[in-house]
Amino acid sequence: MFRPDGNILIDGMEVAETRQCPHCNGHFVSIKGSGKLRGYCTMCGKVTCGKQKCDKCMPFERKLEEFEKGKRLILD
Amino acid sequence: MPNYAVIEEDATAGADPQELVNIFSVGGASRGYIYDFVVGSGAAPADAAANYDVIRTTAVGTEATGFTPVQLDPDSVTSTFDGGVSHTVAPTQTADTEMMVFSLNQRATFRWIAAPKGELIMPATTNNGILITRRTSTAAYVIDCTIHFYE
Repeated sequence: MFRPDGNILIDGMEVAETRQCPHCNGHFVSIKGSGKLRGYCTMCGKVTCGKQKCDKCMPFERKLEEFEKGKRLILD
Repeated sequence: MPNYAVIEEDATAGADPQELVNIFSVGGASRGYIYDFVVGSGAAPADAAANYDVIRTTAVGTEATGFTPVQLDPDSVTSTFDGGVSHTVAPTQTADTEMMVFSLNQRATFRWIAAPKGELIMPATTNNGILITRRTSTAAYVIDCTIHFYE
């Protein structure tokens, strides 16, 4: 069952729900029929944003830990 | 988990991109979690289209004024993060790390709220943070921006 990771309100009225990519921490609005390609990570069990860099499973939490320890140069 | 607010009021939007609010870690002591932000305009209503980005930053820009995060609970400790507003030099942004992009008419007010565990996370790394910026627009007008976060 889809559980939104965020909500967008315009002038106080909810207009969209957002999903969060488990690999880059970014949010996006998923619109059926939009033609935008998204991915699905079977390891994380979540829909990814569709960026090529997020196709491979690398949980954001692990990226964050590596970045904070200086083992990773870019947090993307 | 103390909560904080950083605001930019009546940012004079000139040439794009127009940086609004940058929240960044001062000493890398803890992570920050953005759970709510609002973008709108207090200018006389008019139709103008603008694109906004929420993007990661790795270095602080030059600010005309800073903004110390306000504790939502006055009894809580001061934040280990700092707020940058009214930039004359933009913070260093990491390419291709937009965490959210949205387009907005000048008349509208945009609010995003995270569900629990859906927050935008800022690393516990000095001078790293997140910036809300107006990328392009069809007109110049003043903008208000409020970000709530906890750490």
